[in-house]
Amino acid sequence: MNGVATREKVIVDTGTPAEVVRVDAVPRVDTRRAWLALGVAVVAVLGLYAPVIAGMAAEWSEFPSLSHGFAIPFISAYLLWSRRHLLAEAPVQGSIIGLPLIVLAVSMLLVGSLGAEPFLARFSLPIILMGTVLFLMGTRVARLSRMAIAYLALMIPLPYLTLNAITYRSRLFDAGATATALGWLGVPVLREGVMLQLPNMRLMVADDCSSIPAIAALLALGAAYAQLQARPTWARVVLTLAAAPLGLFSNIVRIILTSLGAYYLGPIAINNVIHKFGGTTVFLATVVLLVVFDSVLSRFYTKAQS
Amino acid sequence: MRIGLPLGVILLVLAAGAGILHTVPPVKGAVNPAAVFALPVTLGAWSGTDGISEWILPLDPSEQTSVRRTYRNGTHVAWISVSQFGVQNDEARRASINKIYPIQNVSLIEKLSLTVSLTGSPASPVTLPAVVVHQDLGRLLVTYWHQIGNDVYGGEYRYRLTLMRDLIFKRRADTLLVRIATSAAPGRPVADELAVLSDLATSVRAALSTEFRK
Repeated sequence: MNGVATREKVIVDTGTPAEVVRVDAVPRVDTRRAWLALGVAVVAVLGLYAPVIAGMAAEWSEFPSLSHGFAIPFISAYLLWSRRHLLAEAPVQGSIIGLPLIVLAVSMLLVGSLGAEPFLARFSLPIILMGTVLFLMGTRVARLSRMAIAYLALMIPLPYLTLNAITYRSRLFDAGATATALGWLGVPVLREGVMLQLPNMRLMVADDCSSIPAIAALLALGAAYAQLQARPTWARVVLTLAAAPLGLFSNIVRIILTSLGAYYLGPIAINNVIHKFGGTTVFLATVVLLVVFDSVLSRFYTKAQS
Repeated sequence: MRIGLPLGVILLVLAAGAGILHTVPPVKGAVNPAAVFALPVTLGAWSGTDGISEWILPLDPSEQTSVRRTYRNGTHVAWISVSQFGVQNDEARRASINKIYPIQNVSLIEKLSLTVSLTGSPASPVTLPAVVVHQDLGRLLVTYWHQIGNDVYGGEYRYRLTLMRDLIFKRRADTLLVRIATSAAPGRPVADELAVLSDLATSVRAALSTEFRK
């Protein structure tokens, strides 16, 4: 499909009047109209998805572990903005591949909305946006904006059943790792499931303490961080994926420190501001770890490039 | 000019989607609410009294109707809850999807499975999920199943898929959640308690099934 190109004749002057000839030009693309059409389509998509977006926003505000969802659209917009010059220069040539994506996404929206499976409906949003960009603007623009669009997937809460199951497993893992570490540090501890029995008090690794909510936010952070500077694709992938184990590590260290505090200082270690803002502590610690990891990683790709 | 065609196609697809979403009939109730009250006060040698502690089988904020009874058979105690859930497309339902067994002050939840011949015929057994819940007050053994109409679903994902299918094509999908709990004494083998649950599950299923056939 070639939906936006206009074909016209141009006069090529070769210098001598006799050699003025008419040739077929490269199709001139009316980029302004194409971008305008994309704007109209995106507004229409957002209109159709308004109830889906409102449902997601309600969950972001209700559950603190999902609150990073509010930041995702802005970071995605920033990722697009940072590529605005490349996007402006990209050739606009719509691709028919976008249409099946749009149809697929609308089908997912219908099944998810009518069948009360919001994850399906929500996940169709990045797909329809990608389909719209492909259909109207073509592969080059789609390639340049794919990261920003794919990034939107990180704002979608996982299905409740799945989230519930992995959160519980994560609590068990966190409690096990903490008990082992406390044993190494000479603190007597008896672990039963998610409970840690210290000589002076009993601690529970609660849902909010589990690493899973933190990992969702940190993956979003890692993906954004990886996109900020020019680096090879493999380095971006490694940085994005590294946010998850680094977040897990930070969270376990936080639980160990809290447990040590509870053992040596008593309940004040639990009832304080630092523990209440545990998510923020983990977030900041992971940012620091990501920066350190990035500087280590950069040595590899700088060496490879040189 | 040609940009108008793809834009038009997109707007048409979106309008079709919006049209379908806004013209489908609302979801209706399907289950006979009387089915909930079909849980008999006496189940074989077990006799029941109304009421169950929240710490044993938590109440779900989304349930419309429920019968919650404590059954005794000599020194044995079991708790049975039959709850009806309506308007399954309600957003609020998802937040309560895990109110099956207690999760507060619980140190460990061990998953088990319980194969029961709910129809009375060994040829068609159903595998029900079961858990041992370790609490401060002791251990609880809980088994449960979902029911859409007279059909029993032990697996959570199969139940969700069937519910989704019914919501889309039939626009009606009330469901029942049947939960049976018993205390698991530390010295007693879990297999014995599972056998108790199995007997109770068969009796409850038979009582509900009779009501659905009416």
